[in-house]
Amino acid sequence: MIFHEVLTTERVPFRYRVAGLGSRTLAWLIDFALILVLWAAGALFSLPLELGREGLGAALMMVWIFAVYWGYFLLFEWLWNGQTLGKRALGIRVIRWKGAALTFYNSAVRNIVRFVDALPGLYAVGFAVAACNRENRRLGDFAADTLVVHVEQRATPIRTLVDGRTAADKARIGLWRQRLASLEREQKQTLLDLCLRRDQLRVAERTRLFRSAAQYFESRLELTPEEYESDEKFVLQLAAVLSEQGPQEEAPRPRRT
Amino acid sequence: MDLSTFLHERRPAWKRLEELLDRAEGSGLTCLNEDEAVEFGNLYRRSASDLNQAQTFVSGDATVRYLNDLVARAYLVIYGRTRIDLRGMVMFLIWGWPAVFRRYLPHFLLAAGLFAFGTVFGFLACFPWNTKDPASLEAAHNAQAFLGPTGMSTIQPREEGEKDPTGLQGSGGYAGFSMFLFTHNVTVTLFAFALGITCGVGTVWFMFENGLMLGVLGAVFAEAEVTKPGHYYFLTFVTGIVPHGVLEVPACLIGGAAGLLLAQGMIRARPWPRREELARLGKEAFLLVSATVPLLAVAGLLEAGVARAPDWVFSSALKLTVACVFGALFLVYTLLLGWGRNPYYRRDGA
Repeated sequence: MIFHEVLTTERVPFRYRVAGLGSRTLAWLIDFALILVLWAAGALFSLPLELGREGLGAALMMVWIFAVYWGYFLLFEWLWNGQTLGKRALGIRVIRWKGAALTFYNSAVRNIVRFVDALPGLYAVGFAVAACNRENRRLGDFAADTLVVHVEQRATPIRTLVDGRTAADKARIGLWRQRLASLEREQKQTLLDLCLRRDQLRVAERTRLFRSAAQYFESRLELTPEEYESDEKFVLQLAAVLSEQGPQEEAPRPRRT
Repeated sequence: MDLSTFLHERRPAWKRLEELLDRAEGSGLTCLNEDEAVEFGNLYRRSASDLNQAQTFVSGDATVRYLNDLVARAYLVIYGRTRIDLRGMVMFLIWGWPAVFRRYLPHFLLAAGLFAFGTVFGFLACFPWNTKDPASLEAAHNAQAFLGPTGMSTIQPREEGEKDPTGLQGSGGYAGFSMFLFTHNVTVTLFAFALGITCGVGTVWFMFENGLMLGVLGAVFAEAEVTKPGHYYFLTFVTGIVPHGVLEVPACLIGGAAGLLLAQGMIRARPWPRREELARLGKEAFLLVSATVPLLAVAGLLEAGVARAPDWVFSSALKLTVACVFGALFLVYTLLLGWGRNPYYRRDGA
């Protein structure tokens, strides 16, 4: 994965994930299909006009082809913060080099130079250029000072730790807290990080990691898990005690949209 | 600070920012009321500083990534699209553009020079200097066939009484033809601009090529004038070309000038990096080329309505007069407007 780093005006660096050629090509295919559909719709509309009054339908069609060809990318990217329908479907968008959203000029230059990128057919020039630089920018991106990135529309929320501590657990909390205090800072953070990220792990790794963590903390802290308690649950409870968040804080479900 | 305390303390603020973002991402910051807008700004700054802190002190990768995405989303909303300023665009075209044009006059003149070179070259190559000599005629005709445009046969000088296929049309035909000319010319102009990204090679070739076409056609009509005197072929050619060419050719040259400007940005580095120079000149080039669209709309109407009309509708003299009037208006526009302090175009950088 390639990242593009941006400095905010507060001098805080943050990163965008640069969109690869694959997602950009797919987005373009969707857009191109939509352009064809729009052209076909225009033809359906202007054909009766042409039959009724010679020349008028052809004129309208000509304007329509021209307007769609130029307007589709330009207007969508300008008015929709750098996204066309295809780009939105792929979760990518065009941004300015310095991280801000596109202006009219960026969008226009980018899409005028598309001409050259599309030479000599099927975007051969643009593809070759994009493949040869780190951030996959085509010529139009260079001229307009833009690049295409992934923007997570919905940042994955952090899972809150644990729920369900039983009354029996509460008795042990004092002891646990005492023992946990003896851990190094790195160990505490590893413990919390493992629990926070557990949803991103595949089942096999998840089991393996939680098992080794449970074994380690069991011996390190000289604590014994409940009978029939899974490794994961044991580690989660440790993390819960560590983070001192009572069960009263309900865990918000990750939003998926 | 410890990750757990950090999360515990700051998460409510992040959640609130997420809420506001969900609303603002659709319709921009304007959908927030005053208090919310202030709150949004504060929350954004707070989250950015949290991100900073998380990058430095907290090893939790998930937290950093979450905050990174949150800040990235908020950043795009804050530095997003400004409102659409139509009045500003119109005022720029009237007052700002002439200043841009004058600033980049050298580029325009270079493009014009290439075009003129093409024209002279085309004419010299295709005009038979000795019409009595069959070898000279044949050489000229070969050159015409080789250099001339592919649709050459439709623009041959016509015999007396031969029907003009582009004669006066109904209103539908007129609209269609002017639209065709407009879209075609805009495409040509923007293409000349876009070709600048090939370090100017494409633009130079394109300017020369377009000049060449004009030169070849001029030679064809001049030959007809010489070999069959009395038909005023050359006059027909001139009156056919000039009324629209007076705006179309400059528009095409402006596209070429913008292309050359883009090439300059690629070739000449400054104390600042090439990337920035290209971006800066790309913007200037776009401003330069922007006025060609309305210009070509006028030219398209002019060509379809006046230049291609048969002589019995508009006399040659009238066609030339119209051409002169529009040429003069264009000169007035480019040379007289937008002097002095110009709020619609500010020079930045060198």
